Amino acid sequence: MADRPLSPDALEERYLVLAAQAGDNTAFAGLVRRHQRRAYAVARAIVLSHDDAEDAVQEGFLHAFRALERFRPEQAFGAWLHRIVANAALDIARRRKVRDADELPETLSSPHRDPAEADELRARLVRALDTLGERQRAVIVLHDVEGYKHAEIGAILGIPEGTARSDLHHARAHLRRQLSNLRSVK
Amino acid sequence: MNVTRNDDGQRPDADPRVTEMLRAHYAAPQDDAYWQGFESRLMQRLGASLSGAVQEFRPAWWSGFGEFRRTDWQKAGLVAATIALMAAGATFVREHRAVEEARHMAARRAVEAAMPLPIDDGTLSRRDKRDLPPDAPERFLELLDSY
Repeated sequence: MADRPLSPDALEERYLVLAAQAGDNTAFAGLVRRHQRRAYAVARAIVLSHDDAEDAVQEGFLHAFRALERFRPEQAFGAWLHRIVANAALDIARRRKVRDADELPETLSSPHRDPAEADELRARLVRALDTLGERQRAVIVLHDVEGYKHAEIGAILGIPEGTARSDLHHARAHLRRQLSNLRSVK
Repeated sequence: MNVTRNDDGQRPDADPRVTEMLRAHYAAPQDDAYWQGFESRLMQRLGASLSGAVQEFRPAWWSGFGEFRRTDWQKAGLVAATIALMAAGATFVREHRAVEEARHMAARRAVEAAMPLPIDDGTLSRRDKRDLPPDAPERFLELLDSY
């Protein structure tokens, strides 16, 4: 079976991957530039703060760099990287949960650099998100905020597609219940 | 194969207002300068990690000893003692065989000197002696073999 021709963008990415695998750090910087925003979105969906998302992205890229030899260039680099970043984020979220177990939820879930943090609606959303399970929160953010499909979310988080679909449904229902009287607030 | 489509937060179970709030809450930084700085910091960290990795993979030759724990030393000592014991045992067996061989050869030389003709190995072997007549003189050398 003949391979589909690669788009110029995919070709460029493959070139960068091959060059990075050959030890070219500038090429790896090119991969960072191409993927850091999406990687941040994946991490941010899992951890509770901007700072932790930054840490997760950095950890993810470092892991990816070390594992670059094992990456097969015919794979999608983005999907591979997002899985690594998601694992790094999950790791940070678990560590944070243990470390900050006795802190107030408001402190835990304060979004960094969010100018509307004081807003009542946002504050309630944050609290509602904090009551969601780690995985359900990640699923709803990846789906509703970042626009990933169920199968992609499953691949990123290492769960079956059906589980991602079910998590999304439950997360939405939970948030709807928690924020049910928002309409009357505004 | 199931084909999934992101419903963009518009499905009946999705609340568009909650979706909108989520997007605002989780929005990634938009400023290009932020991302340039982030890339720069990441590559710096990568560089630091790489230099650390080089040191990690090129340790001084003696550094391995420092990593030995007490149990490691005990294991190493036990292995060394076992090897030394085996070597001593092998040396003892080899020397014992050499002494036996020397005594055997000395006795053989004494017998050969006392006889008019040299005795070859076939003469002294048990198989050949079984074929000898009962009164053959070589039978009196039986004692030499059990010596």
